[in-house]
Amino acid sequence: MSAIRLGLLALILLLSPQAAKTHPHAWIDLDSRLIFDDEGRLEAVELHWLFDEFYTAFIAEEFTTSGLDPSAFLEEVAAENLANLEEYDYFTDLRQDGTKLALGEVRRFATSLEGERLWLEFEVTLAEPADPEAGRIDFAVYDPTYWIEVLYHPGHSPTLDGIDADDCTIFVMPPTPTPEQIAQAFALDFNQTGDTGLGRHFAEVAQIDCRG
Amino acid sequence: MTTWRLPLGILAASLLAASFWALATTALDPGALDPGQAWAQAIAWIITTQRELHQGLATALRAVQAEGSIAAPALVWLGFLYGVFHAAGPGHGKIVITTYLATQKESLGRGIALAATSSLLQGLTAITVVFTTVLILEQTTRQSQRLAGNIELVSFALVAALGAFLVLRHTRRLYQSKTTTPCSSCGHHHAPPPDKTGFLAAILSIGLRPCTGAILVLVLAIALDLRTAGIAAVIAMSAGTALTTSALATLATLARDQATRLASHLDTDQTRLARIADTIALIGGLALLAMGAALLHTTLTMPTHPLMRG
Repeated sequence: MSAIRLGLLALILLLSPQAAKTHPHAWIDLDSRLIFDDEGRLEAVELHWLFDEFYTAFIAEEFTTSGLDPSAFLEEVAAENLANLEEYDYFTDLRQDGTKLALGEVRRFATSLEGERLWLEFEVTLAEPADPEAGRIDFAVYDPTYWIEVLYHPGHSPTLDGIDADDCTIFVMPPTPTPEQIAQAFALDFNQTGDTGLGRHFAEVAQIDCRG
Repeated sequence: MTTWRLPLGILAASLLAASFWALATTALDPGALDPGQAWAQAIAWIITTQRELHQGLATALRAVQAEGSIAAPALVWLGFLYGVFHAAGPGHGKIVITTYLATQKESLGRGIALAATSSLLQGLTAITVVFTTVLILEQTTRQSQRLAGNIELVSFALVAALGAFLVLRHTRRLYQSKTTTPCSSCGHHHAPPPDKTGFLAAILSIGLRPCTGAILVLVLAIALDLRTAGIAAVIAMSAGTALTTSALATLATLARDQATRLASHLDTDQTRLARIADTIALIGGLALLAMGAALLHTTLTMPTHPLMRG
């Protein structure tokens, strides 16, 4: 019956923005460091996440009320969070000439409060060290679910450790979601993760070019 | 033949409503003619503004802590703005409101009441959830997040139940209209009495789902020992949300009224009109049923956010 078909079509149009949880509810101010080994290959990245006050209160409330030792408690939360982040590649997207670089493991982490805000710092290795002269490295840090918005401190960009930074150019591309990407992103279910996630379109991408 | 014109009219009105919705939710770049571009810019703008408001709320809470109640009006005002903006994105409440009001016969007043009541109830739910877990059960705020998740499931189940209820109701009415003798000459079709059950279910299915932003504000407020200020900010948030959703409800109700008026110009057979109205209402119920089921399914299968576990 055509009335039903047309009515259904109208309803599908009405229902199309189905993403129910897409906008961020927590914020991370980001700093990052790319670490190169003795042969000048990219071997690890260090991320420094400064959480917003709400997320901090959410975590910190637990030890202020329970009287747990703050530093031991925060360390436990950080270890738990990092374990949970493994399947999300630690919100880290590293590519060389567009090809994804596989990550290894977290080899160091630290966490504490800075004033009213929680921070987490960790180093994650690359599965295979990458030669920066072989191609441009694109480096983005984002929450694919876009529940958290991750952005560099205004004006900040990744620092390079272990090679001469003058040999490279670093440029942080601001997020430029196209209408098509946004439309596509909003058509997805809100539990999408990985490369298909909404967060990617709202990520800053650092382009590191050391090809001279 | 006029029978095909009515659904077409309703489709046109729905499209109109959808684009009004897009306009209302994306605000406000009159210069941009490309709707996709305008949508993208508006989303980016809403996200930026929301971030600033969120940070502003944290600052305002600290100001209340430092300076006392003299800083409270600023906090309440920011909460209100946050509510207005937060409601200006896609979300399950808005979809329930629009679907329900675009397909069910409700007056403008009841439409606005539905939107406003459910928004205020959302704030009350957040306050109840956080204060019950933290103050009465003496649990942590992470527990309150878990409780909020369970209540969210109830709210999604209610969306599906509302849909099922509407499907049954209008299927029965369609069946009855088929079995009774058609009476196109007597000219009076009894309008059904306003439907209390559907109306209340719609309010609960929206209002039971606490807004994460409100929960976070309350958590910070409790951490700073500013309970009253936190509650005031959340009530202001709900009022802001109520403003936006009421505007949306008005658009949906007016679009439906317009479609109905258009239909009665095109076709004077009251019995057929009533049947088509029931069919549309039935489809609305099916859509809500499907949406509730889909929301339940995704929520149950969705992994918890990696930084919110534990």
